[in-house]
Amino acid sequence: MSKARQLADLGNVYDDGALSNRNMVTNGAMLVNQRGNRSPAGFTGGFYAGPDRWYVNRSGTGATGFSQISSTSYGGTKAAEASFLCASGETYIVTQRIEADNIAHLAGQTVTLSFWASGSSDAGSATLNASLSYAGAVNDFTSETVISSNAVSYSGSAQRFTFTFTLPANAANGVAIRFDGAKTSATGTFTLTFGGVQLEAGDTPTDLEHEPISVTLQKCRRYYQNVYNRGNATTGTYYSYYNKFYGNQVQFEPMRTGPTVSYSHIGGAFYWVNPGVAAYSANSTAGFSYSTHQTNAFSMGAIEFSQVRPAGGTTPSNFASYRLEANLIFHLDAEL
Amino acid sequence: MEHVVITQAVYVRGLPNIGQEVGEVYAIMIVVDGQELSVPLDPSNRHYAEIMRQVEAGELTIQEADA
Repeated sequence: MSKARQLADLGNVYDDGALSNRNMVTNGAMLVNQRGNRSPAGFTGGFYAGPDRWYVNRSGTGATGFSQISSTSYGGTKAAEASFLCASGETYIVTQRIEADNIAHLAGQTVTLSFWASGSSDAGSATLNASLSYAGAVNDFTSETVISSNAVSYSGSAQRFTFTFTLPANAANGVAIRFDGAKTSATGTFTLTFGGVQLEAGDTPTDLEHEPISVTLQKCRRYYQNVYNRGNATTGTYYSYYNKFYGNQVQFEPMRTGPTVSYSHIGGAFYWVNPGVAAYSANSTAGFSYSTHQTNAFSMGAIEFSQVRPAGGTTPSNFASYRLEANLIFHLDAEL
Repeated sequence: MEHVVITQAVYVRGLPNIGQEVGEVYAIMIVVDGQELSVPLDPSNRHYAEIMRQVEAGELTIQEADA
């Protein structure tokens, strides 16, 4: 074979998507679970929990859970397990929203969705469909239009399913992968287990693309990340005019957009100290405030936090450095 | 984003620059399902979009921040 032929064949391999980055789904193998599992509990609103990037919603308020499980039956070593306690007629959905910039190049083209799934219902029956939809506006999934929907003939054992779609021009707004259905008789818990989800160009499903977990984690952090802020490494400053301490913590990865921030106080006291010196505030979370500052279009940013000094301890000096003696995890959410 | 019940919304101000009495508003602290969330003033943030939708619908009022 000539060198020219070899180069042409290599080019075809790339064009056919046989190399990496052909899967448009993030965390389709369910490897990353930054938020942790959500055990079945009463439902109060749609949520992100369990495997990253998957959003769970339903009608009704019955116990709903979403977890990462270990299994080698769903294309890899992990899978997602969703459970819905539903009355007859109630609906449920697990969906992943693909950002416009990551799918617009496939608008107007044929794509193939493949995944492994199994299901069971402890009473009555339940349906399951696999569909794609597009967002009503760029990255705005407030309203979605279903492109087409396919019934999934699940059983109690994991099977691989594949469906082909033609994406319309509006798919350039962003596309959602949807696993949805309804409880059709009796009240009971429907359990859906799925994994190895892949959406790729063309009409032929290929083997699930395996990528290093570090790559998947980096992709997921564009939408959600936890930042650990150990008390003995945090520095801040006291401004006497406002009677406040200020500090900041840099985030790991640039994010899709300015993230919503919350925090968990996972250990240690909660007061401001100087190294080796007694506290300069009372041990209290009162007056603690936090947000992010994003610096550019790629949302490089930092968490800025402050606290009105809870009275107690030694009086701090203006503009002096202090650290917050608290072990915190900041949760940054820039999901679609 | 689906409708969420926001029980409280307060503007958050940053550190004032020299010569300023108060800092710039750069976030909104909301309470959802008992959890405090700090939401940046970013239309692409899904929580901010929902806050603005509820404000425009007259369902939510954002309280002024402390200095």
